[in-house]
Amino acid sequence: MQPLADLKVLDLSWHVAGPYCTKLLADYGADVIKVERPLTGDPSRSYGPFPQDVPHQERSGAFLHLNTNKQSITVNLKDAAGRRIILQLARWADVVVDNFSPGTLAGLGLGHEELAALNPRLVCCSISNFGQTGPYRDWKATEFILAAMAGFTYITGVQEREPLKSVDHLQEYQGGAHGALAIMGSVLRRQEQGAGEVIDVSIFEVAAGSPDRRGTYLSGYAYTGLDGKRESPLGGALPLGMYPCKDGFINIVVSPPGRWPRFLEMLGRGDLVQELEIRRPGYWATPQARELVDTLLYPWLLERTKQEVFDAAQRARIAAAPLNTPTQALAEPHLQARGYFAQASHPVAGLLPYTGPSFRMEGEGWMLRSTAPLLGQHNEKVLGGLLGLSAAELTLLRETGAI
Amino acid sequence: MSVKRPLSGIRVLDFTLVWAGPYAVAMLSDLGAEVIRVESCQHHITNTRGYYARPAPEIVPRMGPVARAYADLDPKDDPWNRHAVFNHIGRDRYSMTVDLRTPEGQDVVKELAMISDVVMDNNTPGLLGKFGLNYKTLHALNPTLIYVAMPIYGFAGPYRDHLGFGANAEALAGFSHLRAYAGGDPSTIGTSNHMDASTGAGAAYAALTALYQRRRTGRGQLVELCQLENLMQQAGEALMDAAMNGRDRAGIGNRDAVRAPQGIYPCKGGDRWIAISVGTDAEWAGLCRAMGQNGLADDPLHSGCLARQARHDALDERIAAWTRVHDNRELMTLLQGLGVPAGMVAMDSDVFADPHLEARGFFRWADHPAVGRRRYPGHTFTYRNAPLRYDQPAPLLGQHNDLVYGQMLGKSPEEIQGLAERGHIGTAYSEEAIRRG
Repeated sequence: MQPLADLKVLDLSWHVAGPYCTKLLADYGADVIKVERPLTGDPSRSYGPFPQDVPHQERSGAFLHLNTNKQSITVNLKDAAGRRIILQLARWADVVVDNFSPGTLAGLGLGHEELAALNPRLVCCSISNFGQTGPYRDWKATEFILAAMAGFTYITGVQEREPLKSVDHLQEYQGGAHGALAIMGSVLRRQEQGAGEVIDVSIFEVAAGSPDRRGTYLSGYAYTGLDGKRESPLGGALPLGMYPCKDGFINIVVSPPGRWPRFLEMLGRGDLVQELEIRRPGYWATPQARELVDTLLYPWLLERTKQEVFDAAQRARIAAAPLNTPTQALAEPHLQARGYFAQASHPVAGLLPYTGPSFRMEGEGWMLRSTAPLLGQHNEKVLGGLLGLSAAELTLLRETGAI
Repeated sequence: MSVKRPLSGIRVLDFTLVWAGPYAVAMLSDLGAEVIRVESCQHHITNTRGYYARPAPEIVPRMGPVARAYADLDPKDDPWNRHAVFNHIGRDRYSMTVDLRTPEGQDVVKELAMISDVVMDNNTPGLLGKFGLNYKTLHALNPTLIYVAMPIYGFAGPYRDHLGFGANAEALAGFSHLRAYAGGDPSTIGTSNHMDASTGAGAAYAALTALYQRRRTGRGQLVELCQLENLMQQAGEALMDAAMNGRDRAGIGNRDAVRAPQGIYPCKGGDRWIAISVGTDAEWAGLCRAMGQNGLADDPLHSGCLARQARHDALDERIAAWTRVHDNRELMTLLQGLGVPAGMVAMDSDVFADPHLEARGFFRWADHPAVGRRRYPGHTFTYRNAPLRYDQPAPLLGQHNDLVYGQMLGKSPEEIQGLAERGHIGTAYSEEAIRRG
């Protein structure tokens, strides 16, 4: 039995943050009913990537990735009959997740107060750009904008150029992960105290508060009054970052000065350990040290493939790893050996590899029980089976556009 | 019944280091768990309570922004109590010290494991096992114990014993490849440790999931969060593209695959910037109005993102010529007023001055015995009903030895004195630990 097998989730979310939150719950066994707009569904069905770049609402890579193990029903929230369905499902659910603009659900008569009145033990989690309160509440943003406002972008890239965005959707994923842990905290409390909860996740605050890189820089600023720039977070001469080698790039991190000897030994220059006062406090931050590192490291790297550098680094206990492209990551021998990717067949999109467990548990933990649902695939099962609507009622709802 | 914190009554043993593990523990202590951080005076863990046990004061200002973050740039006599990074993410927990290399110290940990619910550990796999403190041993003593281990590369596979940090695994995961200037040399992307944040949230979720399961089964378990695998989830779309089309997305700088125009544009003042992202035609019209170029809004050549993508270079020049003479915060407010997604590229000081975060009470003032009253970034989510904790920054090294040894483990004053004489109990690193760096 999966750990969350008895947890029932009504998922009103779309795009990335909310669906990633409910994916984490669904992948560990929660029964997630995803509510989509009739006809077009979750906008991520139009994001792609698509096979051969041909758009198709059942073949979007973003949607397929983010919605594993969920059931899909289509409900028009602007229709009174559609809203009645949501209220019935709110009685059934333990948890409701949404990432609408603040105020949208309340405007439809589906606000937290209305839902809590029906089901006082309900845990409601709203994930939004700026949170449910505050002067920016109704501002428009994408992840790109939020990362900039939280200070993440300013310190990314190189100082000689403009600041650089990070990987798309990063902060939305982080928002979803924080939503999932906030939900589990509330679910645990609810079991003991029988009380529901209203959770407000602001992706802006997640971006500002997650430890590295923001929390570290912000708390550093509070202690020193100095702003971070697009520079090495550690400073000094020891390698930290991406370096060119014969056939690509390798990421090397040699942080503490105690690793000088190992680093020089990796380069075949263990003889310098005695010769230089490398353990002298402050040596690592001198221009001479930087020159020494550059003179020794670059030629050594350019004579070696990234695999050879990776192997040599691990023998010397230096932290390094090759820069993979996504196709190389898919074929990464370590992940293959661990059986990380799960091959699964989707009725329309066909056979594809899916990312595996976030974490592994004893017995049944993470499972790919089903690929992402087709739009409205579970209308009859959920509305007929779970809510007990008759075939005639379903037909009427369909004809009036409620589902 | 008074409203309790969600993890009230749950005790966590904290063996974590650097960022990822301590942040995961911070999530649990925010939720109300009682956390005992197990530390050792014989071993200064680099990158945790600062980078070096005792950095030369004169080099501190020359260090990078994360490494130099000692209160007022002054490491003083107890640098390990004065570093911002740990004081922030090490919040709200007890600190006790014990020499794990000795059987006596190992017994102390075993006693603690018997009265705890969760162990959090992001050490290299097998490290605690070397001291006879692996999951199997602790589980035999306490079958309800949940042990969350966070190995970078996992317990199995060819890289199992490889040394790695977040930045290394980000490269391996295909992540770093996706973050690059257009046509840029990968060595210019700078360093990133997003994986630590990803692991932190993921490991807290893992611990909570295991606690939920324990309510039903009554049993603890070993949870393995392979940091590389957890991170890969967040590159899902690019991996799908690779699988579907056998291609690798190239870094496109600050542009978007669909929305246009999107970019980071220069503003008044040195190294000041604004992020603007236009998707719909209404947003485009808002931007044109702000720039005083209403004619552009009605131009069919600029209707729709596809058309604007085709003219992106020329649009960038036009937008930059306009933004260059304006203040980035004023532009953000102006553009948002016209419904255009825009945000200043904030520096750390800007984030502290942000009125929205201020209005929501995001930053917290907190007192710390070594560094006094300071401001810290706060919670990453809020509850309406249950209280979350944010009481104290990180403890001093060994601050709660008396509480842990005396009250929790019931040691007598004589026993405590003996443990102190044998080096277990202390509030400073040993000279040998300091020499090692």
